Amino acid sequence: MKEEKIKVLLIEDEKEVLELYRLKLSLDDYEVLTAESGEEGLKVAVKEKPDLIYLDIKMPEMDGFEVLQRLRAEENTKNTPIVILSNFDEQDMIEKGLTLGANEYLIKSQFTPEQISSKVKDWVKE
Amino acid sequence: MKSRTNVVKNPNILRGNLLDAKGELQFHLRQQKIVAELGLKALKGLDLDSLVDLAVNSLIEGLNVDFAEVFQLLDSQARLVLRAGLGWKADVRIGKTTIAAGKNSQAGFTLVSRQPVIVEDLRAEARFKAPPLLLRHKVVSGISVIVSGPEEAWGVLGAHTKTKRAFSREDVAFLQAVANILASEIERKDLLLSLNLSKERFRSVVESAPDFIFTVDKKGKIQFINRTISGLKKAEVVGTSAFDYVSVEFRTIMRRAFERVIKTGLPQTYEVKGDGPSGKSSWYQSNVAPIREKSGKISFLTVVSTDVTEQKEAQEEILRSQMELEKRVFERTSQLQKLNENLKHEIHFRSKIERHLEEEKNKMEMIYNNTKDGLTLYDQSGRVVYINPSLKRLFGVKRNILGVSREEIVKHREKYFEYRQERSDESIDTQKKVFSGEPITNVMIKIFSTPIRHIEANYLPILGKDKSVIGMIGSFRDVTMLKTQAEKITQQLLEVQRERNRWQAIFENVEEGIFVMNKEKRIVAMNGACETMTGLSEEEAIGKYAHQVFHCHNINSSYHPDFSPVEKVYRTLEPLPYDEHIHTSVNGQERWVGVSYNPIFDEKHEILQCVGVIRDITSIKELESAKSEFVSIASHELRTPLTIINGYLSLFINGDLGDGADIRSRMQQMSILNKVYKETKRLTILVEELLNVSRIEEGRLRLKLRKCSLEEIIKEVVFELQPLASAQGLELKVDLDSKTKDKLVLVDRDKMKQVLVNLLDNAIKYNREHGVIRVKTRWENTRLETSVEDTGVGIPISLQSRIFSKFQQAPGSYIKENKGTGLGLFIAKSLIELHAGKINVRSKPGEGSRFSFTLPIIAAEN
Repeated sequence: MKEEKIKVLLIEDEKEVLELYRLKLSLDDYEVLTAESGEEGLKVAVKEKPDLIYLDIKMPEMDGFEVLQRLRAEENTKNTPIVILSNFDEQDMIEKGLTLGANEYLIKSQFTPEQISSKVKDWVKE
Repeated sequence: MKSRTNVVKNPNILRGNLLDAKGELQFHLRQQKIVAELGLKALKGLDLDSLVDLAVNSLIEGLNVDFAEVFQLLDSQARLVLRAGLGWKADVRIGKTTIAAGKNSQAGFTLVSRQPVIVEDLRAEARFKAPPLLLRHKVVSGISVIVSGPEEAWGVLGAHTKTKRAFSREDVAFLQAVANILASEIERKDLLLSLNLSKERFRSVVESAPDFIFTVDKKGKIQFINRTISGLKKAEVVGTSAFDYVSVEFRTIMRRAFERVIKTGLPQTYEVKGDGPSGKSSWYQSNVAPIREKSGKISFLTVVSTDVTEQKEAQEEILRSQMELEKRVFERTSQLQKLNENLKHEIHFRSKIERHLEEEKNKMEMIYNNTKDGLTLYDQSGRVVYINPSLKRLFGVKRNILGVSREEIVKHREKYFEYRQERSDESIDTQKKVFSGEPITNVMIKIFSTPIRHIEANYLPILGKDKSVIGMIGSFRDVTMLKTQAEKITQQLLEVQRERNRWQAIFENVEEGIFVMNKEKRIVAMNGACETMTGLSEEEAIGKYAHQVFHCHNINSSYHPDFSPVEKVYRTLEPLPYDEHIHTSVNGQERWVGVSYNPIFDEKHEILQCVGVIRDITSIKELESAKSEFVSIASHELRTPLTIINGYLSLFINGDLGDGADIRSRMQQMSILNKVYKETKRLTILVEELLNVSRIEEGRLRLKLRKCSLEEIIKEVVFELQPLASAQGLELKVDLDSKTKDKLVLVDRDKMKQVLVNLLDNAIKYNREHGVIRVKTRWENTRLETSVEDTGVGIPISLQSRIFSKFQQAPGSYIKENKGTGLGLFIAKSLIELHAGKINVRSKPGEGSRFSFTLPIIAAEN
């Protein structure tokens, strides 16, 4: 283990969902940053340059797709692995997310917090 | 002269002064000589100016005076002008110097007094005012007399002396004598002047006369002629024979007339044809009269010839007409004779013809009696004189109508006819018109026999030889068959037309666009729906290819016309049951359409036409997409609490949440379980609401309506939610209209509670800290309005119109933990509408929102 923990950003407007994943990722010894809206997430991501971003889609004001587009346009985050966590399972939504530059699209209800947490290892090299 | 005879009576002579007498006598003799010489000169035709000069000389000489003068009265009668004078100073000028008339001069006074004037001493003269002329010449004595003119006084003759002198009567007589010579000369000159004038007048009359006026000598040689004749000048004619200008055959007549005038001395009249002014021959009536010398001997003849050609021609015309008339009378007479003969001939044949006519009549009667058409004849007074058997049959004549007047029959039809009838005309009107000579045709009569018959009637006047109407003929034809056939055809036509109209109406009014293509895939017809869809009128579309009119394509690509469904139908000869496309109209509007094609084949199984039906399915498509969107969002919403529940439970099972051995671990587990429970509850509500929405949308929601007091329901809900509001530090105010207190509404109590809960729940969630919630009722007319007002963030204007739609949530909920489903307002609206009410929102962002709904009041509480 390195001294510096892997930095994970959670962008999620559902407070309970956010709390659930924060708890699990903390337990797995990651440094967890959280944002409850798209705008906030964008700000934190550019500033903190996390190693991985979990991004929700359905959010008021700025939705996940827009956040994704903007993150890919930012120098600091254009190569950051982004995993979409959404409960929309329509094919066109999944395609849209991947087209816009997401590395993976996961449907929340089909994965346990553990499985989601294990994705960090897939995308972040130690 | 009188004065001369008086000489001897002069008293001076009687006094015996012989010397004086002798001198006086000589003096007077000289005077007489002077007068005689003057008179002689006047007779010789001396002109007046010379004569007056001579006269004043005579006066100086004869009277031995200093001055002599002749004054002529000017036309103005106001002044006199000096015509001649002697002894006067140089400034007195002949023809220039004038003096005043009247009592302002001696001459004037002479004229006024109308007698000779003798002035012994001008200085003592009182009868007239001495004129400056006399005074300037220092005249003392003078005499003056009038020179008379043809009508009025011509002027004055006077003589004057510088020394005083008594003029004698002889002097006056001498003066008068000279004046008389002047007067006679003046009169003669005047006479001459007027003679000359009248001669001129006569000449112009003669020359301008339309008649020929000429004089001839006894042998007929022309001496004078007033006009040109035969194109010759007057001078050329003079000296020629008058007979030369008359046609040869009339010369004897003319000669005889002349001879008779010379012989009898009486004027004669004769008529000849002769030359006119230009040589054209005309008729002349001439009067010839003798002109005699003083001795009574005839010196020459005057002839006046008047052109009477016109009268002559008129006379000839009359003569000709008379002859013509006579000729005609003769002709007519012979014609009449011939006619008379013919008449005799005709009478001879008449009996033959009558027999023939009798036969004809019989023949005609046969025809009348056997024809199918009904016939009637009326006499001049409108009585029936004949009817045929067909008429009896057609009208059902039930008693004798011969000799009955038509008026009577028309008035009492039921008496004469078995069958009732209806006519298209006014019977009596028709009769009147026909008897005035006008035929009336196509009168329709409906006869109520069994079966009903239709008769076409024609009425014609019967004209006598003098063209007067002597009767009426009526003919009646049974047209029942024709009429029923015509009616049947009309009926069928109408039926066909109705059918066609019906199809046309359907074609035009169906929502589906229907169009027909010919063999070449060109449009031959399309209905209004197609026009609306394409933006082209039928006229614009006809003749175009279907793909030029309907721009159908798939979402991503346009059809190439060769691969279009139409092509497929024409190629495979198979109908195309259904296909969905996007259609772009002329103005670029895109709509979803469902299209089907059905070919119509001819006997050789080749496509004759193809009917396309195109229907706008945009709203269905939209509904579909709304539905799938609802499913998508609903499943998303359902998955969220499931994710939380599953997630925490998996953490539990994995032991991530400790073993619960210590209090800290147990506390965490309790807290997690609490969360799971909350999510389960949320899931339950969500499922419940989704079911409600589903029921509402499918119309399966049944209301259990009961008469309730809305006030009670409000109080109940407020009581239930009071703790929640208080927990958020909110003040909940209830303000109920006193008028609504006893009013009842017909509602489903539970559903109404749900509406109020939803509205109050929102008012709590979206309020600000220490905010206020007001629940109010207001009675207006027959409706009851309930409103829920908050002091929260309000709803963005862009969202206000959609706030009652499914899954629409306003941002800024105060209580983040208690997220709604986004279905509350949709359900509230649906429920209120099911209660025949209305729901509204009024909101100002930053100030708060006010939701209100109205319900009809059904009765007052007992």
